[in-house]
Amino acid sequence: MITQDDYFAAVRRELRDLDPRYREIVLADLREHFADATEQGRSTDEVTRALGTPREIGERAYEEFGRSRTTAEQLRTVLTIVAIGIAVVTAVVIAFLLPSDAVDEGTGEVTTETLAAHLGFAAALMTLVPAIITAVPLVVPRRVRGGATLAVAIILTFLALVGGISIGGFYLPVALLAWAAVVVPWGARRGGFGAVAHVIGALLVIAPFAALTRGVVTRTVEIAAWGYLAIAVIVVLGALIGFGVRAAGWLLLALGAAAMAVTLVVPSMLMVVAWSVGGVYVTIGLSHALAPRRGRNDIH
Amino acid sequence: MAGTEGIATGIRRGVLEFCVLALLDERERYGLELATELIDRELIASEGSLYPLLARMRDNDLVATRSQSVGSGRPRRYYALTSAGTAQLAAFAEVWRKLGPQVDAFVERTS
Repeated sequence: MITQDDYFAAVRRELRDLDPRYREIVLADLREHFADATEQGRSTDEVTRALGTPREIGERAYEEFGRSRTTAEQLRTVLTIVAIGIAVVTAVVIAFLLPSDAVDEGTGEVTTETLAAHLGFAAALMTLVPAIITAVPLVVPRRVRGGATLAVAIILTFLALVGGISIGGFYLPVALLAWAAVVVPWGARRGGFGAVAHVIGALLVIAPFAALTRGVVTRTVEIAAWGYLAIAVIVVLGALIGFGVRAAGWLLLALGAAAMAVTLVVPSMLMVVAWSVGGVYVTIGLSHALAPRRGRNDIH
Repeated sequence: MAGTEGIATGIRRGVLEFCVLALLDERERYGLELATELIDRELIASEGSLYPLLARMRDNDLVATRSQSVGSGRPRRYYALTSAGTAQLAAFAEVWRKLGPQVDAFVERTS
């Protein structure tokens, strides 16, 4: 004896690798079928028996549609690969571009040499450790991949925090992407992302500029004309993300990547800030562009 | 050796889409109606297997849906053929007119 809710939960589980659009259509049709059959006086037991097992429905669905192109697994892989890429760039930045600010034990002077020049090439290779950690979920067996991705996100966050602002801060984008590799596939398995997720994304996009905007409004901060333009662009992109416009995700990704690239070319005191904000935008932009949407069940 | 059920499953798979198109060509129908009809004619083994097919046919624009509320105020989705669906039905019929007699001839000879 199975309840209607249990039956639908089981069907949803079987259809988890189906494109959410098709999954919602099939589920909606099955619910209607259930309601119509019940109205005709059939019992829940009779209806579920006639419909067939959730497994059979799942097999038919995959025969018709194949496994989805954007399965949770693939989302995880893409986000992990981007995280590895940024981790490698971060390692290069820290080892070869950034002044190490280390105090020379002999002279007591602060050196402005890079880490590689100051501590040697072997030490410079240590900066690649986060990249190697990030890659772990790609090589472990599939059934422990979810757990490994979560562990990586926690470890990278820990490293970014203990590394302090000067070095750890540079690993923030990698840590954020590692969290995206946890959250986006998780949401995809649960039927995609809806309005709440989009609004959270929009707030995260606007947040880094909120303090700046407040300063401008209260006239405690003066910004140039391009600063107003930047705020306007961010607010518009944030709003579009709030409304779930996929293209806005790609634009934000490009903007974030550009911010990170500019950081490398124009070193300044604000380097780590621009790098981090760029990382936030790359993460939200990419997640927003790739994440499946909830309840897109009307394709006419 | 594949049992009768296995053979039937294989053959049904190829012709089920055609049968759904033909049923919808008569008149528009809702899910349960279609499922019951196909079960009665032994064209599907379980009702649930109809819905992934319908979703795919809808995605291919062979059928379209229309919502109409029934007595209880609940909306019910009716399926109808699109012009692409009508064309597909004609194409299927064309193929079957050639293929069917060949298979029949073999069946004659075997029995």
